[in-house]
Amino acid sequence: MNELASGLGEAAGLLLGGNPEVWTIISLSLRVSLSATAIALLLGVPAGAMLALARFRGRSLAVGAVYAGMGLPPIVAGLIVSLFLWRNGPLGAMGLLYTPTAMIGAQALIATPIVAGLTFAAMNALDPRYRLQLLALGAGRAQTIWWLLREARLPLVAAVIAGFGAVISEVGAAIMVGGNIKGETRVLTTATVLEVSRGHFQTAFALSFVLLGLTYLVTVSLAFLGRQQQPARR
Amino acid sequence: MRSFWSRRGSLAVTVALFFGLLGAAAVAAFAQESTPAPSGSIILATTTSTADSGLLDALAPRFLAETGLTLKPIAVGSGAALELGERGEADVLLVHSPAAEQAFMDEGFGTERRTIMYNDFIIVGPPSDPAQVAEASSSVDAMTRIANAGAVFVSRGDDSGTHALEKRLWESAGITPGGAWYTESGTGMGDTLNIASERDGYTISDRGTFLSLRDRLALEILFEGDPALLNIYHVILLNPENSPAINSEAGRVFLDFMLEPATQQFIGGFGVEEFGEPLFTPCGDNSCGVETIATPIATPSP
Amino acid sequence: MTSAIIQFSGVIARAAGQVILDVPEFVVAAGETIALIGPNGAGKSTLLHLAALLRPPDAGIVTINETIATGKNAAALRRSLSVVFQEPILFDASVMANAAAGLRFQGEPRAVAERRAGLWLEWFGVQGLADRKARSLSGGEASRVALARAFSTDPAVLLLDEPFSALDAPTRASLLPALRAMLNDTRAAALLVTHDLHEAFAFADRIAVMEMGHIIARGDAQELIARPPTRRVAELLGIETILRARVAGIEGRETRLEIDGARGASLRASIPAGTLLRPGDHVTVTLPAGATRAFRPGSNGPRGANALPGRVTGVMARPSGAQLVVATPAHIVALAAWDVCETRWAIGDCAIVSFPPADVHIVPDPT
Repeated sequence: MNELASGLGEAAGLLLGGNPEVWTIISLSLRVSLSATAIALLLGVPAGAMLALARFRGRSLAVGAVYAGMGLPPIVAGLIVSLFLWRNGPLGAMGLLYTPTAMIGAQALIATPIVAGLTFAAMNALDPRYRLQLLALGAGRAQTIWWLLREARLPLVAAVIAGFGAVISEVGAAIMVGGNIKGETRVLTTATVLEVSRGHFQTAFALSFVLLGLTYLVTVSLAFLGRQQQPARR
Repeated sequence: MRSFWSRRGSLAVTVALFFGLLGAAAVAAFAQESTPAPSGSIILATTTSTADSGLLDALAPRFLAETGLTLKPIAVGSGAALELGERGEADVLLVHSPAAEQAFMDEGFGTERRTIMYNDFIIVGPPSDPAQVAEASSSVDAMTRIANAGAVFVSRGDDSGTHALEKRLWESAGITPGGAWYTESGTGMGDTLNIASERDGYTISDRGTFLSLRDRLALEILFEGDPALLNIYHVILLNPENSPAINSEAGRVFLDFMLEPATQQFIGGFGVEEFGEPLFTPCGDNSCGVETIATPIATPSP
Repeated sequence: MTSAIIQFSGVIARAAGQVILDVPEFVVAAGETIALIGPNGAGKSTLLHLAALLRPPDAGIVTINETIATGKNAAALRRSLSVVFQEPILFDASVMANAAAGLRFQGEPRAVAERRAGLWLEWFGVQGLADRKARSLSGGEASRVALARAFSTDPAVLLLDEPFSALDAPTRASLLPALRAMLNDTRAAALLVTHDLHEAFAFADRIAVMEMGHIIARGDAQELIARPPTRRVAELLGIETILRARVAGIEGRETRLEIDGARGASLRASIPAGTLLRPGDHVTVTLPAGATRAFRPGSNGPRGANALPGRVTGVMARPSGAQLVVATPAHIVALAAWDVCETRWAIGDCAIVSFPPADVHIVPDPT
């Protein structure tokens, strides 16, 4: 148990001491996971909204696929992205494997079904009369979607938080497509794994604390953004 | 008409369009991010234990400063590293799996294989040493003592280089391990050492990992120094005829860098600060003659 | 004839393969107010959704302002309509944003939309709530905001789907006249779905009675109550007294009817023009309570009116007087003015029920 306490101390030391490597790792973690979350938001919310609002052939299959995708293991996402990015893969010429971009892609692949699935659930939970009322008010398609999303924004914020939480904490895809290269693709989770295998448990704990703190800060900020406009319920 | 009335069909089209545009935007963003051209970096496929030692992290900035190339060490298992080389997914290899390396060269996947450095494996166990491994005359003898005493032995069981060595030792000793005393952890070296420590068991470890974990383990080095336990690292240059993606020129730059006296000296000093002793012994182009000492285990010591 | 804003021709709607609405013809003309009444499941809301272009007919056409509604023009045509649903469906935004939403959707700039919406909030007495969150309003306030939102787009017709059913009686009582006044001022037409007869009569010039997907009667509200075409319509309109009787004799333009199951009780009824009755015929007659008067014995009703003595078996107090059920022995519902002698009506009192023969309606179709 000593490691916990000393890890906490070392975490403070790492941060306050201005250890440049740690700050590089933190900023890379944030950059990768927030970008992936943003992509998941941009893709997952419209996809979830479409699944909830539109009726088309194969819709239930698509819903099933999204729900299954919510449980996509990070390592599988990493493998799929690797398949495309390998030098001999279809996108190999872009030379993206072992770059933060590849990590963003893989993490977006993990987070998008989560955001889409939770968006779908949130939109489905909306009273169908809201949509009828919007139609009756003469809202166009985009306006209808926008107002319904606004109506569901609390669960949508939860969806985004879930997506971010999934990617900031995953290690399989990050290490597979990122390669855990120091200063380039080493993020908090992969650095923690490395420190554990090196036997630097104290440093591993320190990084874990930093990761927990970071996750807490980001999710609280996201939740705050959502709550800012939370209605006073009748 | 029906679908349009309820706006469902058109909604689907709109959202699909939106989705598609975003997808395209994302791809565009991907494309834009690909500024670090492949020629400016070199992918080195290597083994987990090499990467875990931290040596490559330490060498990367020196390499960049000297050659202008970014070193991207990708740590995978020995087999996977060779597989990546075979598929052209890497530019150069740094591996320590002699038999598999030889097969790799024989099949024409590599053009050149040069010795860089070595370290060694050690047999560790509880200080009480119930199997009296410390008095063994050779590594094969040590393994025989463990099996005869029925002492707990924890195996990696993961087809790693370490596991391969262990299996060769059992084979040389004429023992088929199994039974209550023999445990397969199926995990990495660090976890395997921890399990051995918790169970008062024996295991085979590379020296570097053991040194880094030594403080928290109830294990001691009980046998070392047998030539059969030497762990020699080679750089393998890949045959560009196998895949146009292989940057063999950059591979050669890396090989030359590793053989430089300054680099060799750096390797020799790496780890002293943290562990009190070096993790690797530099041996560029077998200058130390390690290849000749490393006798095949097939001829067991008496 | 004023122009038709909404017109149904041969409209059929189905749900799960069953026909739930079959309306060969239906018109909402400019400026008129129509109340749709009928039991639950009669198809009232379906008709309103079709009129609002919120669902397409499975057969037939809906015409708005003489344009046949199609998928492509539905959005544009909807702009001359406003819908208010049973519950005021307000969005999670400010009251003003809700009230101005319709105008914003029509492309009005925010400033214009909010100014116009603000006027309507003022009309409905909720301008002070403009900056509040819509979700923080009481039911009555929310209904007012929903009405303001509906009026703000200056619709040619308002479609109201039981807009007051979730409100308490005093709130309803204050909103109904306000809405009626607003419709008079704006000359907007309105279609009100309700199952509250009082609300329907207070609101509408015309009534359409629905049952099982069909409009079974329609017309001027007063005319329908006075002369329901069928017994079922009379029941659905809530006409208080409906009796079966046998024609006992013809006396000029009146007939004497013996009420079934009420030995010796008979009444006189005017024979509608074009109706041929023979002694022994069985008929159904309706008599709205409003056409009746109950007196104490000894008082006199109008000359020439039916005067049936009986005993009071039920008393219901009303602001305008008491509504009595008098066994003559056939049960007749009659109104009694507040007695000058301040004697309260009580069960068991003797009463004379008086009503003119002209107000006894012989239902043409007794089913």
